[in-house]
Amino acid sequence: MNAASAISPATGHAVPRKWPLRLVLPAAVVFVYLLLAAFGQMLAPFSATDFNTGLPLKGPGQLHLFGTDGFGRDVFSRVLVGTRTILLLSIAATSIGVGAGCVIGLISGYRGGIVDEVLMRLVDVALALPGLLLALLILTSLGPSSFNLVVAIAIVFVPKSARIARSTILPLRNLGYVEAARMRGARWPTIVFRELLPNVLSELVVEFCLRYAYALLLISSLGFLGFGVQPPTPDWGLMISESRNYVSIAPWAVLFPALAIGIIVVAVNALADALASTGERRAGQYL
Amino acid sequence: MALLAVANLDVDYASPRGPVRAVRDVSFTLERDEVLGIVGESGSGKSTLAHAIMGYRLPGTSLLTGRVAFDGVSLLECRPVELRRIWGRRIAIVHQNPLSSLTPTMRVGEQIAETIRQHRGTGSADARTAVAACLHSVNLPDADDIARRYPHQLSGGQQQRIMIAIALSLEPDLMILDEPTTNLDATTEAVILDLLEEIKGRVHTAMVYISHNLGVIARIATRVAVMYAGEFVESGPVADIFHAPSHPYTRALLSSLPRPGVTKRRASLQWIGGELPPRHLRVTECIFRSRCPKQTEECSIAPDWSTIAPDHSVRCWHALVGEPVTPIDRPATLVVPTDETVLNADGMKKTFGRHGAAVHAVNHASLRVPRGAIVGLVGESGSGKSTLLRCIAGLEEADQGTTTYLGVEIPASLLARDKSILKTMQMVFQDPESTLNPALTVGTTLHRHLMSLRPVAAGEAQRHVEKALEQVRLPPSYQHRLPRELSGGEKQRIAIARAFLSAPELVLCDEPLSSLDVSVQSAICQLLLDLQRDGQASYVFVSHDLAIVRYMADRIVVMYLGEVIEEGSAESFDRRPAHPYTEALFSATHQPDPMVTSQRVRLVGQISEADKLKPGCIFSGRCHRRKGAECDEARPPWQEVPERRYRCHWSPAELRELQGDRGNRIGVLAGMTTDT
Repeated sequence: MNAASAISPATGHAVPRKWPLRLVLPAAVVFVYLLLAAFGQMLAPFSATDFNTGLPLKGPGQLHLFGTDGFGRDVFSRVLVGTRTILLLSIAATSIGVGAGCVIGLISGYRGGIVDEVLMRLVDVALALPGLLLALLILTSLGPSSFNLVVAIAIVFVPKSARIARSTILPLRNLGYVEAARMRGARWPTIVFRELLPNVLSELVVEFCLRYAYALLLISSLGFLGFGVQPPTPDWGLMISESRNYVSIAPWAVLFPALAIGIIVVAVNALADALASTGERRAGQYL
Repeated sequence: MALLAVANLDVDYASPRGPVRAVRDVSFTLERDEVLGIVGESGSGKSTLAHAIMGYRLPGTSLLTGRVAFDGVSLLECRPVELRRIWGRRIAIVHQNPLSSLTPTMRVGEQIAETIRQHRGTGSADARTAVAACLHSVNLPDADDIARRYPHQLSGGQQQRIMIAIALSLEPDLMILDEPTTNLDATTEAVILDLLEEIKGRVHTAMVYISHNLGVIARIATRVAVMYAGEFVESGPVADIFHAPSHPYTRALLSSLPRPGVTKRRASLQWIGGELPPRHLRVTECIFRSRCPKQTEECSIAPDWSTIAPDHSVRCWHALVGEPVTPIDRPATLVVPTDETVLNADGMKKTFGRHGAAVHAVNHASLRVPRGAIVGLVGESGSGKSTLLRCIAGLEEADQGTTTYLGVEIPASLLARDKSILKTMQMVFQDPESTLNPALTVGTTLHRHLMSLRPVAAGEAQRHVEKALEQVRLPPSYQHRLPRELSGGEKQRIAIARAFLSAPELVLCDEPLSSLDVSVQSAICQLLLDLQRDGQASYVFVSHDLAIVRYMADRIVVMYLGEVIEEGSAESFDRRPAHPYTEALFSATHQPDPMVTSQRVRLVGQISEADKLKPGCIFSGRCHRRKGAECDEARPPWQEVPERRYRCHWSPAELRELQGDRGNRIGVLAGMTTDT
């Protein structure tokens, strides 16, 4: 019974990882969207903004894969080209909004006390307004533009992300390893960003994905209402809005942009779900 | 016919790596009136077995085969509807955590009544009388008041008594108790065990009592089965198992426990190296072979049962017959405390919450640590021992009091303390599961700690980390591991290595052993003693386990409700008189010896915040040696006895008279025993 025998045989080898279908499938869809965002312009058979590429309101056929809209613009080209705008805008808005929200939430959650009290009351005020309404409010006062759209959505996201980030860090703030860090003289920024952040990163990535899906919807909704991307830039929400008057005679002009939105939103949500259940933690090692 | 006959019981769980063998080839019989104690460490499959013998498949069970005959009925072949008729009425189970077994939104009286109505079909008026009778039977006197409460309004001990009341309400033939006292304080545990013993004599219910605590098993069981890695390795009458253990595992378990009167100056504790064999593989050799000190060639074939005494059988090729376990007479440490004071915390006070709901966690407590000493800090949960430790560490800011460390007064706030103070005062935390950052490798954790406290050149750091691992007897390869790849004991070793990276003068240990298995505890104890010898550190050792404290400590400080009520040299605690609270505390520890019956000193009532506000002695409400009106009117003075002092109105001479001077010792710890 000597001490050396207390050493366990190497058990550290990871089992070969199987990628579950529920993770791979939505990831593949998102990847295809990213490819389209990058190369959609080159693949488009027509210019997205040219009028009368064919007869107006022509049904889907060989020349116009998704048909044409009321101005005779090619719906297929417009959907393809529109991919980049909406993906970029949502990424920008989500990164800024969720990023700022997480920083606020993490600090608020770890520090507690008066800092937490003040930050969370401000968050409560912001949460009292519905997301779309708040975004509309900001856009009407700032004026519609792509930049303002990003700002508006980011502002909508900050309080929600702050709440999530705060709740992830609360149960961890008094654990042994945090106290051990305090015993070596670490101050709160070190503890929050180097000790705790790696442990909540997977939850925050999930939060990012969910918000991203919501950003896609918000941008489309704002586009539909006329406060988002401005014509003639092809935007899915705007396309639905412009063609909604012909929906009974030319449903394709509404259907395809709507499908484009629907598929990516579902895929991103499914990805977030799969990530949440996979919970990969090793990534935090290098923070 | 036996009440319960289990034969060749196998239980598997499904896992991604194939079936995990939780229970293998377990056979035993249980007669009416018998109490079978099943003892095993974590992961031995005890809880799985507890459920399997009811015919209950825990979620994830992929295989449940064998024979379980309960009063002639084969439970594993019963349909669910038949099982439901047996469960509750004829077989009852009490789980470890009463709060999660009770419905939080339902009054406890109603929960007991529900069981009775469901199985007996009695009306609500009859049920109400039955509830009152049930509560009386578990010594909850004020039945009407208790029945109206919700679970969270009861103490842990009361909740567990409610669970036992529910189990007993239908007078079952068999009661399964799965670690029923593990989450309770020692004093409460003693009360529950008293109750179970009393019930045993009254209702003739057979019991299966499952525990990792050998002392508890020795106290309650008539027969004992020792379980290791899903198998029974030894079974026999309680006296045989404890006095002449035969299997090397049983012997190792027993010799890892501190015995009464045995301290670090006299004997070393043993521990079991290695870890449980992988449970998803089929093992053909003896299950204990990889960790057995006596293993030989023939151990590659799993041994069969051999009977070595009537009713005492063992599964080992090298079974010892009729040999008691004796402590190894080799001092575990030679470090002797000096007169120099390392730490002196004086008049510490810490209050949580505000005005109305204020909790005075620490109330004018003082603590002195001599150089080279291990100061044991003991008390029930809620006594403020951890808070006092955290105030000294600076993790909590004390409201009042001065901390003099190495001759200098240091600030209460951790952030205001100089690096040189942090460096020499380190802490080991209670829960090995959260003591290491799960996202960081062991190496990163140690590296960060080292560089913060004792910056060294980049090339040097690696060497320091490896040396730290070596100090806690782990190979250098461990630095690449993540905490989830380590066992509980290994995690605690890393935590100790972290605390010792900066060559500390004072190490504050907050229940460092309480979450570890018995066989690992003793290894950590010895490690702490060895590190003390090498580094001349002093320890404050907080623990609720008095046996371990008596083994490890040079000085013992007893806390109650945030105040120190007794303190002195550890040896002096073997002598009488002692503060009545200390007396009760020590008498609640259970020796791993069925022949030792502790002198029964049981506390009534429970720790209550209100007691602190009374003008008199804080302990007077629960004291079994109340002197009179002065106990409620005046704070008791310090009474001096050789090497020790305590706070009580009784003078040493009077108290010695009361406690009797049989052996002139306190309680069971030092052998206040009656041979039966």
